[in-house]
Amino acid sequence: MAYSEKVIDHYENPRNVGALDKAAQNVGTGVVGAPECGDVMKLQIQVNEDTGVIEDAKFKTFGCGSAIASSSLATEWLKGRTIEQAKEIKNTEIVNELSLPPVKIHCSVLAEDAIRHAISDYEDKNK
Amino acid sequence: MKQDPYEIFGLERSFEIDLDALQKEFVKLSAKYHPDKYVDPIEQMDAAEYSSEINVAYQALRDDESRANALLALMGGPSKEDDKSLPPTLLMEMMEIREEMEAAVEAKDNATVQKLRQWAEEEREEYLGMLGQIFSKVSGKTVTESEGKQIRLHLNSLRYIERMLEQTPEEV
Repeated sequence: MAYSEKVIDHYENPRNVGALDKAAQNVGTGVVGAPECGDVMKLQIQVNEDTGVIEDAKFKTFGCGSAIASSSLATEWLKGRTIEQAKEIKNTEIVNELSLPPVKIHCSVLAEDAIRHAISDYEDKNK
Repeated sequence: MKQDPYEIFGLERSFEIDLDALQKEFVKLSAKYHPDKYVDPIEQMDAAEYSSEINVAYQALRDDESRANALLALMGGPSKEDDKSLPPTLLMEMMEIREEMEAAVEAKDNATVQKLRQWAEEEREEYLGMLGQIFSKVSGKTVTESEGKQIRLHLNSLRYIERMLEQTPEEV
């Protein structure tokens, strides 16, 4: 199975790899796993508390090229969005953007899941 | 999987199997149903189809994790898709250990790589031991709901350990 050019680009030059301070009040962290393959993904968002805009996003993924590309793309899309806009990101958009084949759709689901978890962690901290 | 892999090899449905006997039977059956042995085109096609089933069944039984998955399915237990449960802290732990492993691989710190691989191998043995125990207590042909859930939980956890071993070099 051949990876699309966009997947290869994100895999070879992943954007926003790294970590934010998990304990910070304005950081939300999501750690998720894919039971199909055992991949693990951590995605973090840092939110500007005055504007509600996500000003930074980082990820760390241990998994296949598609999982890495999905989370890398997700962090790119998250930056500059409000929490409400971020909630609208759908895994199908990731599938389309990266031209993921059917067997790799679960990688995009994982990224969507990670976004949800990071947002809900941030919201729990800032109730 | 079309056919019960245990039936193909004439084995009892059990988690503990004799891997040598399995391999011998595989070699025997593969030879017997080798398509080149048949002249009649229909027989040849049937043999080719059965050969590939034998292959699939062999792969399913040879590996501990896939054998446990196959056996759980045969015993009416939940699949990965149906039941994704995990112990609550497992993903966090795996994330931390995999980050530690990645740093050790990058630094070519072989001692740490070996230590972490050994940890993963011990975890694997522990999960396999627990799986064997639950399977051995199953009475009858199907698992109870609680047995099925327990086996699925251990198998889901084991996948993350296997993935770590699959994705790390044996030495640096």
